Parts: sequence; structure tokens; C-alpha cells
Amino acid sequence: MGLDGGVNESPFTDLGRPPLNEQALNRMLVRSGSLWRRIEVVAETGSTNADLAEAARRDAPEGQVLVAEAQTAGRGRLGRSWTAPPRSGLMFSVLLRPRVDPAALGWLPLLTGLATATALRRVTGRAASGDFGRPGGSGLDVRLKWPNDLLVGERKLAGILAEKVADAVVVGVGLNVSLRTDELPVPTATSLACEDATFQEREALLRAVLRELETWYREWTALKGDPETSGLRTAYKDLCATLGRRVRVLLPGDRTLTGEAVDIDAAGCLVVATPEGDQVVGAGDVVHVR
Amino acid sequence: MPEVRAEMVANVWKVVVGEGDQVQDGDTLVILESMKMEIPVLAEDDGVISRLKVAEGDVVQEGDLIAVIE
Repeated sequence: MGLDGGVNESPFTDLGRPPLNEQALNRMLVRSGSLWRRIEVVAETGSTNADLAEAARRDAPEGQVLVAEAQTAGRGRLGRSWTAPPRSGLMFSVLLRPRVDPAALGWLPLLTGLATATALRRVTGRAASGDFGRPGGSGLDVRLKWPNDLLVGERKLAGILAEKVADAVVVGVGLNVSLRTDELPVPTATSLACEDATFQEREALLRAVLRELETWYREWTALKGDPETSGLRTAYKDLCATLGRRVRVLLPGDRTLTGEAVDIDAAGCLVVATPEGDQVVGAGDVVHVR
Repeated sequence: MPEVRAEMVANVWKVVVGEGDQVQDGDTLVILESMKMEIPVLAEDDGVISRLKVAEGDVVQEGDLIAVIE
């Protein structure tokens, strides 16, 4: 029997995709002295990044989190789009006002990737060993493709996009949680469900990610954005799947660079060794080649 | 003659204005990109773009001149 394959819109019939509980999230994450001030969950919006960018322009303080169950104009890098069926993932943005050396600001998108990957590794690892009940399934080996794509193997689990808005930075995360194989936007995408991750409960995942992000952000800003003393550069390199790989980088202006990714430098740029010497990449699409 | 300079190493993703364009305080001149972070560079004065020093695809270093507004 074949169904029409259309996306099931009703929250009441799609029991496998329960909505997030805004009250519970605020209760657990917003405390006196915490980074997070307010967590808002909306059923639908154009783009959480666009909404918080607007809030930033109106001088909203740092610590706002906006989560959308569905987006109609989700964005990726270079004007690409990010789409997912309602409640099938976590799509959220955070508003931060990092008081760090401007030259160190490039580390914030990388920090977000590191925090997200670390949180996912921890939560799925604990679930696999039985901390949340029946053990089984996979603790996920989530890694980072430079700059901040979350990968399992070579498949993309989550994307991150940041926008600087005067002194604020809005960072958006799109994480695929329960998407089934037939719902993946491209064959190179994946989700926690497709990876057989034991743990797919979105609220707990969001809490874990926001807590990890808070820890790293507080440490990093306390040290004025220094990636060395904060341990950020080391921790990022440890989880970076790009290092040691042969890569092809599509640079702005449609130029291509091929070589071996050998380092992440002090500014967070990817260093690629080529026959012409080491090339430093600050922006580009990285492809891991065989 | 206010100079608009890059605050960090970045690529020039989008050039929004051209030489000769009238701009106001707050208008976006170019959008830079670094580490998947989009960085709009805004005019901080009213005036005319007398010089535009970057094109899409360029790499700018911290302190590089982007535009001059007269």
C-alpha cells in the first residue's frame, strides 16, 4: 500500500513528532545569571535568523533563543535554503553580543559547531549505554567539516549560519532529528533517525546543545575570544574531520583550491597545503575528496 | 572623507552599492563572509560613494579599505 508521501502537517496525527514545550525549556535553561534569558518557540516563521537579526537591530539583549517548529524561508550560506518538515528537527537561532577582539569573532561560528557536536556526542553516547533507559543504538561520532557542518561519516547532520548585526551576532542552527530517508533534501544529508541514534528527543537535545553552548561561550568571552587559552582551537581541531583530508575548496569568485587540509590557524581559518605552498581559507565550500 | 574599512579577514560575498551611489547612514555597502558568518558593512555617514575598492570574490584583510564616502 502506498501513501502519497505528503508531509503530515497535523501535530495530533504525527505522534512521532511531538511539539516542543516552551515552558519546560525556560524552566530548565533560564536562571538568574544564566546566559539564556528567554526561549521562544513558534509554530512557524520565515527564518529564526532573520527574526533575531531584527531583534538585534532593536537592541535586544543577548541571550534570546528563538526556536521554530517550521520555517518558510530558512537560510543557508550564500542564499541557499534550509528546509525541513515541521517538528522533524531543531531549527533555532541565538542572539549573542560577544565582547571579544574583533579579529577573534570568526571563532564564534566554529564554537557553535563544536558545542553542538559535543552535546550530540555526549547525549547519544549516554543513551547508547543505557543512561536513559534501554541501552542500544548508536552513540554518534559527530564531527565537524570546516567551518561548521556537523557530519556523521560524510553525511551532513546539521548546518550553522551566523550573521553579524552591528555588535551582535545571530547564530542559527538547523539539526535534522527525525527525518526519514525519503524526506532527506539531498542524498548527502542525514538525521539522527537515519543514523539510528538512540536518542532523538528534541527537547533534551536542545537543552544539551544550549548548555554546552553556554559553557563554551562564557569561557571564550571571559578570555576575550582567545582560542588558545580557552581551549577552543584544540577542542575544535580534535573534532574536525577535515584535518588530514585531501580537500577541494570552492572559493568565492568560483576559484577552486585542491590540497591537504593541515591546520586551523589562530583566526579559525583552514590551512590547505598545496604544491604552491600553504593557502589560508577564510570562506569557502569544502569537499572531502578521496 | 570617511573611509570604510574591514574589521576582520573576510571574503567579499556581495557588493550592494556602486561608485557614484548616494548612501545614508545605515545602508549596507557590501556583505563580507568569514567562517560562515555574514558580515554586512554599513555606511556610517550620508554621502556619495567616491571609491569602491572591492569586488565580489576578493579577500580583505583586517584594516583594508572597502569604500570611501564623500
